[in-house]
Amino acid sequence: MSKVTRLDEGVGAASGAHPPLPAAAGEATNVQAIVLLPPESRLGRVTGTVWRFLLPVLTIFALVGVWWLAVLVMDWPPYVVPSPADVWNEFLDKRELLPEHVWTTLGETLQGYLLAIAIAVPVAVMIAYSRFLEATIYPALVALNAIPKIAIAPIFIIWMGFGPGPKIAIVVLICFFPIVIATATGLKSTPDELVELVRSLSASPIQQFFKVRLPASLPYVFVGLKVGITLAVIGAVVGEFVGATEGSATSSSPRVRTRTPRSRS
Amino acid sequence: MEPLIRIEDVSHVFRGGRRSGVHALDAIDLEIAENEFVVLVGRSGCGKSTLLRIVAGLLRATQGTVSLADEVVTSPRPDVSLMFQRSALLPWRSVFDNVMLPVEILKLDKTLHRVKAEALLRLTGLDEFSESRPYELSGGMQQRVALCRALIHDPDVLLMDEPFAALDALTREDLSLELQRIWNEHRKTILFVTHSIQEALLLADRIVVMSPRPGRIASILELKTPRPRSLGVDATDELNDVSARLHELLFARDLTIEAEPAAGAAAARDS
Ligand SMILES: Nc1ncnc2c1ncn2[C@@H]1O[C@H](COP(=O)(O)OP(=O)(O)OP(=O)(O)O)[C@@H](O)[C@H]1O
Ligand SMILES: [Mg+2]
Repeated sequence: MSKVTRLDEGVGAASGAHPPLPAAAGEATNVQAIVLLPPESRLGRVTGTVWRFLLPVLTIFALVGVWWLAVLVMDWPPYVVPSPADVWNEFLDKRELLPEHVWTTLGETLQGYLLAIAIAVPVAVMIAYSRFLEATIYPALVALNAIPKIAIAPIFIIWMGFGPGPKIAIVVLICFFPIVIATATGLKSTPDELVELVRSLSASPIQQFFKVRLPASLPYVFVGLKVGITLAVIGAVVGEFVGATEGSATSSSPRVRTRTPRSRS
Repeated sequence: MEPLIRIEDVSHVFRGGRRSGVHALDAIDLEIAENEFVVLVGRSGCGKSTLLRIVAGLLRATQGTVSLADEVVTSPRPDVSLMFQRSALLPWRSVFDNVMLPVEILKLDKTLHRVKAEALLRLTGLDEFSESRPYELSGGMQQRVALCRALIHDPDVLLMDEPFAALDALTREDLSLELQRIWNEHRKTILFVTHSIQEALLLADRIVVMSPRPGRIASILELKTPRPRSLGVDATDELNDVSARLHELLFARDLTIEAEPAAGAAAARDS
């Protein structure tokens, strides 16, 4: 076989059977750029902002409307499903009760939430940076999270009494886990090429952390914080149900209790 | 002339899941002179990226040494810059701040380099986009930003791992021309990995052809055609010859395999 014919076959192969060699190009279109770009025009941006605020408000109004309509159509007795108007009147009646209790609950929620962040983020950093801690702390946390927090709430009351302490503890316990998981996941999922990039610039571990790993993890961290804050409110209310003298849950729980047979006897 | 980069007897075995490990590189010897443009070509998996990461100091070779300006490379160095197939831009930073990242990390003079960053962005036609976010740019523009970032701290050596591979053929050719132009202005020593024979022909002083498993240097081709080069009708004889040689070298292994069952070879020819 002469050189020339072999060369021809080579070229034939290049254009036919072996696409990877000459051109594997064109496959990486930038999906991100297409998805993330909002329709841009100055007018579009303004109406966009208005819609962003208006849409949730309209949604809430619509839901209340559906509720009201349902009560009217179905004719449920008000002690089973009160209409929005009944709820509003009750709220106006008792409005001097609310601020104080809401304040207490809000305080517990926020204190617990901030404390949870303050503990969870460093723990997440340790888990993300140390194989050993990942192998030790992580499973323990998962196991701990499997315990229903509501079930252990009374124990906190026994330990810490009836003050705000046990409620804050329950809040911390309940929203700690999602924040740790999200932050650790975020810190560990820094794209390899970004890590390699800062490594190639001989960045110190501190620079690596603050310039790349931490900012890259923020989307995950915020998911954790978002889940955390809703759970924090639940945690505070649970704490109050179990044993409290003030806070928003106390103003709803006595009414529940008066209807239970035991408190009547 | 004294070579700037000296790769001596470098072998690398990845110890992974498999008991024997992957023998990625075997006894690579290569010397690269200052301001030389060396292009590495070879089939997928023949160890090009591995070699580049070893030269960059990101990976320690299991055997052999790499030295740069007579110093053995043991860790990444500030006078060596890397560029990857994906632009690796930080999505939360503007184009300008992305270009300035090496300046921040290496703690260089900010005001001086701001001017340089602006000049580089102008050189690559991105001056209007310096406040844009990376996702607002096309793939080709992103690679240009990555190129600016690789050049901002004026490294002596540029290591490029298929920097244009993710782009369409036209943008890719544009960028190779642009790289030629930039390289003419600021001479650098460049080690460039590509799968594109065209790119290799346009850019290289020397083309190093690697063969896979384990990765070895199969052949080294020199190109003397002056730049700026062009392919197609006005390609020189030398470029045509080297192009033919490259096809032959890169597909040689397949031809021998396909030649064994006669029917298979015929089918391959027909397709
Ligand atoms: N981190 C790793 N761990 C284990 N094996 C690896 C690793 N990186 C690469 N390899 C192996 O080493 C060999 C060479 O890989 P390398 O990435 O250097 O190839 P390449 O020539 O750059 O290929 P391509 O052209 O596809 O980019 C491959 O067989 C691959 O499986
Ligand atoms: Mg590679």
